[in-house]
Amino acid sequence: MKRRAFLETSAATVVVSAGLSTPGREQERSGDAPTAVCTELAGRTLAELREQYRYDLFDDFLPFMDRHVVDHEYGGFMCETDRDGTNLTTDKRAWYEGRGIWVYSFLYNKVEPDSRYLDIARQSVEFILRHRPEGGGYWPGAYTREGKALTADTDIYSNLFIAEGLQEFSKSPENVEYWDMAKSILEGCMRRYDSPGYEYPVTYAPVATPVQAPRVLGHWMVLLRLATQMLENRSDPYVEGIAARCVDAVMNHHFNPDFGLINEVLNHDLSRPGDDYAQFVYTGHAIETLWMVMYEAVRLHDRQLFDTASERFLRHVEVAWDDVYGGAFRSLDHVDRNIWKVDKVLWLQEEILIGTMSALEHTGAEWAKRWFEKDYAYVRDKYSLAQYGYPLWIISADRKVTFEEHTRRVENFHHPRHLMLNLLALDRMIGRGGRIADL
Amino acid sequence: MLGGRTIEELRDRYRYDLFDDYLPFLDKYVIDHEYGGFMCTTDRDGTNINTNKRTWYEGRGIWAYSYMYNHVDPAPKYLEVARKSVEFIMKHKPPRDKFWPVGMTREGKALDDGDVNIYSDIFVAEGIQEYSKASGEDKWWDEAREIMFKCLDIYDNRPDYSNLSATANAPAVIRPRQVGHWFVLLRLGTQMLEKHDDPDIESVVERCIDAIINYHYNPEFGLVNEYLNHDMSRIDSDYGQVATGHGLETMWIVMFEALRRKDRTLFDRAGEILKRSAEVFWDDVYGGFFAGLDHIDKNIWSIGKSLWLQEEVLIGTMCAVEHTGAQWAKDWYTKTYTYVLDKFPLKQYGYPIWIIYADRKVTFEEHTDRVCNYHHHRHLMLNLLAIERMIGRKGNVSDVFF
Repeated sequence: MKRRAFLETSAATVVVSAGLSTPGREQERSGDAPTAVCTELAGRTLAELREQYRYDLFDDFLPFMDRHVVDHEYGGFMCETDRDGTNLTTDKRAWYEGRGIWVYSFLYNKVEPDSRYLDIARQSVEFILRHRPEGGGYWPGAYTREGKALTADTDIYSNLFIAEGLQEFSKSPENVEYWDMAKSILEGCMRRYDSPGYEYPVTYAPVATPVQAPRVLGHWMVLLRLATQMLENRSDPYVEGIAARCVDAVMNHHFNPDFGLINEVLNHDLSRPGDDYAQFVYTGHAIETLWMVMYEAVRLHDRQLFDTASERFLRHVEVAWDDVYGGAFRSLDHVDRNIWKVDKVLWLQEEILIGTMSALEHTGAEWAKRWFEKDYAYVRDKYSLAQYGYPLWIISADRKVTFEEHTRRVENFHHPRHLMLNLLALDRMIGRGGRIADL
Repeated sequence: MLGGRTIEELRDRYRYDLFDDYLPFLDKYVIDHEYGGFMCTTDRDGTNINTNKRTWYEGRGIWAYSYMYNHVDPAPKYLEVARKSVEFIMKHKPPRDKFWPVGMTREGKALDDGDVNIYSDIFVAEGIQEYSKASGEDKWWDEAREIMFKCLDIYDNRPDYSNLSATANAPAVIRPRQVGHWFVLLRLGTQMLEKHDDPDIESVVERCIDAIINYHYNPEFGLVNEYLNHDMSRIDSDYGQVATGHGLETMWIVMFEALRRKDRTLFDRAGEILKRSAEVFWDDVYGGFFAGLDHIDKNIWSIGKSLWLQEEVLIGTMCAVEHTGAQWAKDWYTKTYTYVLDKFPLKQYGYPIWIIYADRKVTFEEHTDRVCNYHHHRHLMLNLLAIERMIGRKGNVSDVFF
């Protein structure tokens, strides 16, 4: 009897066998032993999957951006663009400039050292730095194509995305001075965030009453990602301290052991609010944050932190997954009442793909492989616009990801970040012959 | 290993829960040894909140004690409990176009003019068809057959039978088809055919299977619709968005029918739907299966936890383990059983038997107004028998389909 036939027969005839362990944690289910070598994923060889990622990045995403979104004349990104490339406006936003600087700098630094990418990043840097606020204020939120500010200052994220972009831009040898600028912006953001008078309306929370000087998971997330990346190239006690604070806040304070999920909003002193904020879990941010903690754990070579973060990552994916129509929900507005927002955003699905790929690369966990494959199949089936005759992917939709002929926005951050991070992970895995990375 | 135990340990746990925990409580506080029947309106400490009886619980109790006697332990005391309940309930046998009363006093005085749907009568029929085997009197099987066809006739033909009322969001549904009806008819039919061949009942069973698998099962979302229009078409309103725990219960009942007819394709299909439904109904935050999905597309759930639904999944997954060895079934059985033993047995609170209804977190409440005399008993018996068969086969998958 051939081995495959023997295995199939065994599985079908033995009812009760050893190895059925305590349930509840996916990792412990039978057949979930980590794989030592991963050579195929999502029904493809790793090389085939890498080619698909390269196609999605270089043949689908970047040409569209280059043609319709990147402003080669004035610099920056015109993201208010329809599916066919029509610019609905030519306005720009501070968020998207910072994010775009990061994307094109990262592309140049880590994926493809083509000077065209660095030029796009440089033009956006020049565009946005003309508006650098004095005294630690926030960047204006929106601009005309030519660079006239359209709004007053916005929120902390504008500055943090710009800092993230600048620190990545600084990794090309001729731009190292921008690391210090990123640190300066970070310091200014922390001063405001730590102030008892800090104001940030959590508009996506289902609670009307604001929290005074709130601690916000979304803030720690962006701060952590910024710090992790800054520390990849230069050690700095201040930035190390920020990274450690972020990890502590996320893992020891926002994490709520009552239900094993991460609260989005805490009081300024990191205590849990006594009202419905304690029931609010923005699963999208939680999942996104946890892969960032995993990346920080890789930087620190901290296996324990990696395992705890990945365990909680899995927990959130299981809870957020829509068992009826597939995909993950982004917001659990009230845990105990089981009230969800049921729309589907691409970015969250892609955060799951990043986190599962990271867990697979560094642990070989079977759950990571299974969830990557499940989510990847779902994303390809639902979000790719090629099936509707357009390039790119749908970025936000209803629960069933119903196609709409028009959109008001092209997404220039989460999608290319997913493609690049996972492409690099696949490169590394292929380079190791599929063997698990040693943390 | 199954349920975190060796198969022998699991059998012993089931025997403990049945013989040492459940049956003594019923014998002492619920069974009316004087007038016959079951006084289920009883608190945790055995206090009878009232001594009234309900036709549902008489039919169910007759089934449970007859099944005990026929399959688990042929002690005359079980047959005697069933016999007394049969005598009690048959005094109220309604005319052909009516249903049994809903409730009765302890002594047997009817408290109403008759139920409005088929469940009371169907449970009586299920009970007496099992009692026919225990007593050796075929007349009870014939009586059950008569009740079955009366109920089916009313379900098919009575004007305004079980109409769903109009709501702010949905017009009324006249004479809806209900999966809860098909599955009790199916379960009744399967068990009657295990005792006697009958082409008319075979047709009913076939009709039930067709209704469940080909109509109530909705491929658009992979779940079982509770309601359909009378002509079996889908309801285009909020009523068409309802899926309840009945969907999961129905699937093991289909699987048992598939075993009877040795139909592996049907068995596997029902197993697939059970697995899918379990995945959707599972509460990923606190564990256990939610009571119902009130609106599928709006993702609105009834988030209470009822023991019966957890136990229906334990029956279905045990059945799949026994007859296919499927890993998914082992995993779901173990996950559910671990959860149930952690949350529902009242021993941790100083009482016998198990919690039957609770909030989402299965918060203990000091008092209850009901003892369940059916689902829990059925789960313990059916799975105990399955475990004993598995032990007898030294863990090998059954040969039913070979």
